Amino acid sequence: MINTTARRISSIALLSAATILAPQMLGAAADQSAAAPVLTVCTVDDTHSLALFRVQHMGAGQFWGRFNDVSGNFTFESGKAEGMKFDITIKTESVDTGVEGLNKHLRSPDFFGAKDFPTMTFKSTGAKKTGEKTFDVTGDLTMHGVTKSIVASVEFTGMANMGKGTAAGFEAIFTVKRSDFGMKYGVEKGAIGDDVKVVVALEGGVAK
Amino acid sequence: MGPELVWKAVLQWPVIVLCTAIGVHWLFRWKRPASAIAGRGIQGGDRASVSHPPSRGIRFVPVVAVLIPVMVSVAVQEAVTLREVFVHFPATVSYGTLPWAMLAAVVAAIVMGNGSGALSRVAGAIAVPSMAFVFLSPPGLGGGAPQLVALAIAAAAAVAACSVSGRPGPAPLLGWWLVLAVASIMVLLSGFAKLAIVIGALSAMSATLGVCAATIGRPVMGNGLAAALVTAFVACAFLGCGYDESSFPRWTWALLAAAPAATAVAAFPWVRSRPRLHAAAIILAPAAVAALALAAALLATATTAGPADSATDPYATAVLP
Repeated sequence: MINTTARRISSIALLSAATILAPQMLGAAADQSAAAPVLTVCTVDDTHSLALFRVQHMGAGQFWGRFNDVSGNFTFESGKAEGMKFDITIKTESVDTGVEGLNKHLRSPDFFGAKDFPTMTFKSTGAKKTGEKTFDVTGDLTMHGVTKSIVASVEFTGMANMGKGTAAGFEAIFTVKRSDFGMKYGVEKGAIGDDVKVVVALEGGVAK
Repeated sequence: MGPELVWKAVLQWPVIVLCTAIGVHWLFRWKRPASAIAGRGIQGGDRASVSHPPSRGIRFVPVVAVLIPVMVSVAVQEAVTLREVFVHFPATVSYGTLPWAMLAAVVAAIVMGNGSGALSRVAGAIAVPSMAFVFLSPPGLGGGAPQLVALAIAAAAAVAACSVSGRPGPAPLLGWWLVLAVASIMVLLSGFAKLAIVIGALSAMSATLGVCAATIGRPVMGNGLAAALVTAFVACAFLGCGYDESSFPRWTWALLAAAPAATAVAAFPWVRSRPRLHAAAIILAPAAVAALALAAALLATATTAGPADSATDPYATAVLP
């Protein structure tokens, strides 16, 4: 009897304390969010991320290929450009066109030189909001041993609870001149286009 | 990659040069067209070299024969001027150091000169590739051991190549035309087209000089050019091995690099005493070894390839640059 009464008193005391303190704690959290943005940090999920590229072949068709090994992380705050960061690495060895002979040629020093330059990287340096879900992200693209600043049009594609955790997605589109990066094979005679359109689709799990 | 690509990238220029030169040769010897076609001009050169040491006559300069084709083909492919080829040093990739390696080899070959003594021949055969291999360190083949192996192969091949380099006439140069053409095909099939074009340019230059040797007097190749060509050949095979995307066994690259050493067959007295056989050995023996290396490489990859590799490759039949 005495024990039951004591438990009730302590429960009421705790509830009262929580009721009194909760608004103050929430207020403090609100103050903190005003001071520093709530950034979501995501680690790229290589199963659901890839990079596509498109280049003109012999002045005729537009040829598509992809890189299967995309890794890295990205940081963002929903709907805001501030704090948005991308640090993406692509393994050049993972180039895949569906044709093994062409893959070998693309991995060779004629193109990506996978043995000399095993990775391509993109590190963002700034971002600007251009629409409700779109941004212009500026960053340094390092490819074939050359680093150039580029601007990528980035779209926030969504965020969802995947059961095991939350994931977010972005899609980036940009065009580069491969000759700017020292990749000149076939450019001179117009056999293979100089302008390469790149589409990078990213999905990343929110870091816990 | 199909035969059309191999023809376009590698063989068309040497063959065009050779056919043109045979035509020129025929015009020069219009009184004996049959002998021109049958190659009696080559035989004449061979007989003379057996009976007379090649102490006289013009010799081809390595700068023209090795450095210019390499530099021009690199410059054209990279869309830069010849001056710019040498501006970026050290190059970010091992392939980019090839013109520097060839420059070093050519300088050493000129210093080495064309001394016909056995000692100077051996010294040159070691010094010329040594100068070049300082610059080369292909991916996965860095460090001392692979370079020493490549250097040893180059030295042995250079000694053998120099043993016939004093022969007047086109035979040694025609041998180089063939062996370089086979090497170019192997490098092309390994996936490195730019290097294949460099080797193709060397092949074309050898064919051109060979035809010159058949038509304008009887110039000799000289030890300097032989050592420089061997160095270029082994250096390209070394780079081809490092950048190989077709996973050819490394021993096939070593066999390819050693192909010029097969010229040693021509040094046997029984072969030397038969001019026709001697010329055939000089022209065909290195090419046969190179072809064996190529066949072995293709066979090895065919037996280990997966379905995607062994099936008909659409890239081979596509329109390519």
